Amino acid sequence: MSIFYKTSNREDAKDLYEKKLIYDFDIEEPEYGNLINFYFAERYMYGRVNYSYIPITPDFNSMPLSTLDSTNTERQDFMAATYVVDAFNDLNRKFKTKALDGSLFTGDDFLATLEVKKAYQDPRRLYSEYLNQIQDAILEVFVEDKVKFSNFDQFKVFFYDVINRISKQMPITYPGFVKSRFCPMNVSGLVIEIADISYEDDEEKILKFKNSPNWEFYLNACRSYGFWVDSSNPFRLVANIGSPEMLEYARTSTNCGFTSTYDILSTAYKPAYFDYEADFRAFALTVYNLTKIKYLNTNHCLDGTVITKIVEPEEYTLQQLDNLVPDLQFLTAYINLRFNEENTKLKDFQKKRITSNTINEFKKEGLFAAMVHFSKFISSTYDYSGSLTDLIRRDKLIKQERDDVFSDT
Amino acid sequence: MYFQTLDDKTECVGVYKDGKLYFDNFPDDLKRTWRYSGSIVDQDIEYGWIYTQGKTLREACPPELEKELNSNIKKMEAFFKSFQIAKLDMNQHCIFDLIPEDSLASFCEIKNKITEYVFATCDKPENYNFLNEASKLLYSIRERKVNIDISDCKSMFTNTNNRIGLQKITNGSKNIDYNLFGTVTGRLSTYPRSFPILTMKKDFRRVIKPHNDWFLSLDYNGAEVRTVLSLLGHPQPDEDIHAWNIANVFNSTNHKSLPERSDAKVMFFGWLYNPESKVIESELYDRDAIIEDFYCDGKVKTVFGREIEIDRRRALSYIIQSTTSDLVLDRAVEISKMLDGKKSFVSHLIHDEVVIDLADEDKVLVPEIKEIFSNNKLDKFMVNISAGKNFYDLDELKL
Repeated sequence: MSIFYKTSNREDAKDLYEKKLIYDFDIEEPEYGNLINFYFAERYMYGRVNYSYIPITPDFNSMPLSTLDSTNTERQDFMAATYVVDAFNDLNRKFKTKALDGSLFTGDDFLATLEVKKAYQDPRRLYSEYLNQIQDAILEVFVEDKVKFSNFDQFKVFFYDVINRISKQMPITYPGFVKSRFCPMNVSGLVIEIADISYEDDEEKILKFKNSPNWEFYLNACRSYGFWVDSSNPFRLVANIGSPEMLEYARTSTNCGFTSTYDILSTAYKPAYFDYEADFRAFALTVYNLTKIKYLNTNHCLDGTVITKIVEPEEYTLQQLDNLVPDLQFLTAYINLRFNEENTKLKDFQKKRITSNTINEFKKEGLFAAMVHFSKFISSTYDYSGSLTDLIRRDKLIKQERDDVFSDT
Repeated sequence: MYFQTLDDKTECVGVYKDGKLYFDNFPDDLKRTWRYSGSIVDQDIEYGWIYTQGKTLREACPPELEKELNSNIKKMEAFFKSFQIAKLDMNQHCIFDLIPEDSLASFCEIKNKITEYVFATCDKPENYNFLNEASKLLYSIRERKVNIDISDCKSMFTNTNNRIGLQKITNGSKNIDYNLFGTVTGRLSTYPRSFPILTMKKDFRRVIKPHNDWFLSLDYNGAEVRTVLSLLGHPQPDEDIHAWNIANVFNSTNHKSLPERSDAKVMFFGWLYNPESKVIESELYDRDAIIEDFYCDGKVKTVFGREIEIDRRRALSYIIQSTTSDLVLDRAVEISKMLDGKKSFVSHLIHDEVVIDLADEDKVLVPEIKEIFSNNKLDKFMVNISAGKNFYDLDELKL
């Protein structure tokens, strides 16, 4: 175990606290504005929400991905947004040039030649893996409660109840997942990682990065090519789509042509709730199929006879899904889940008003318009635990407590 | 008998006594502590803070205990620093669960030692009981947040100065934290972190709304003038004091024409507080007689037992201001006692004005409240009474 830095999160709380303080202090480089902590407040949502904090995912029709094949000899399937790849390739070339003219220490593990270890991750695939875990949790509840049903109508009563309960702790919907800490920022296509150091191992981060003779060159070069460096994981480069350097790449790279940050966020990404209803229906059917069991149904007749019948739950096909979960039912379930996931401080009457307005919108304009309407109300981060507003509130409370304790002194 | 409390807002979560912390089954025989904290309300408890006339622990600390006090404060500061760094949510934790017991005990112990020192070395103030009750009232005011509602005041935000001022008010502390010992005369001031009730622009009072249904404001008609009359043993006029002065004082003085009310007011106070002024020559207002009665050996001593060191020239103004201020505070305490257990409560005090947050169900009590306010320690003073739905738009009540 290291004396000054944590090597894993399994150390005791006091050590972790003190070591984190030391790490945060040591990693800081005030003269490099591009070294920032992406774990702080809303920054962790970078690339996964738009200006209105609506969860977004890359839209490959507008933002092509490119491979980072020239930078890793073992794996060649790493990808990122094309303009980010172009910027990274130029950054890499800069490193090579400097290594050749002797300005760089070439014996460095990670900062002599930049080798990609992780990049874009498909949010759909991650969500699917995540849902598998949620399914297991739901199955457990169904088994524990010995839930029996003969058709989807009976099933959905329990199903909605269980997912509503779970959604207060963990996101169920795709938009909720994308915005949560369960979803890594790599899904944005803006992130490239150049080391496979454990995220928990601060000692390695300090030894291999901060103490590297190439550290300052690395920060400086990243800044020149429009990259931020995540101070909590200094091997993580994040494209700064607000910087003139990165915007130039976004404008000139093949099939990009983005002219501004707003253009990137509104064109290259789509809201995560697009087409989500199909996923939800499929998820409901999957859980239905996993939890349906044959059971004995016993009826006592007035004449004293007992009729026992084996009940076999109905089978459904994918084609029947739209009828099983009609649009309005999906919308209502979605609204409830999103309220729970966002842990919103809205009062009950406000929630009711938003719900009824959304349903009116659905009746007038259809499901898509209703989803757009609803997303405007549910996306603020002010109530989020860990949001900047929340952190300021916490700080204020601590100061108040402090003032109270010291009011006599 | 010396103890300290660990308070979490209205609830006492722990008591420190004789080197031990108690989190349940609090010990009996709790007699003396540093300061009232709202949780233990035993009437017999004495407070060292009042003995010191509002000193802080540091100010009251004897030199031999300074090192121990500073070291304890430093340790507590370190805890708070760590809570800030760890970004703890104090809504989910009790502060006293987060600080180790031995550190809490050590902090309480030094407070106990200083309290003991204060009781051993300071004389009990003559007006201790009055200060004690006043401090409890001010504490209850502090613990209640001012109800700020800007929903019907949006038009005020069109002016830049108003907007900046109102933003400060809406974003700042909502607790009125009066300093009972902030001025030598006893007039209330507020601590810097308080809601600026005494200093805010008058227009801004519109954003202050009652928690109940109404604000009921009571103030004396010509409070200081009436104080002067009472101190001189004269009966109280049953009409506006400045109109009465015009009829009875300015009329008998060598004035060619009688002044307007506003001019009469200015002239009167200009004369009253300036010993050299000869504008009014009246036997009714004998300034020297008041000084003779309440000023001795370089000290003013008011009817409330307040002693203030001051030169003779300023003695009269100190006597009048201090007495009037204490009269109002004393009446506020009485009204608060009368409202104990009711929905209505004393909301705040502004100089000579007591403001009640009145519930509809307590409207029948208004004449009684007025009566209590009117009958003060000196005499029965004429009272102006007004009410409204915010603290700006108050309409006079004719009772």
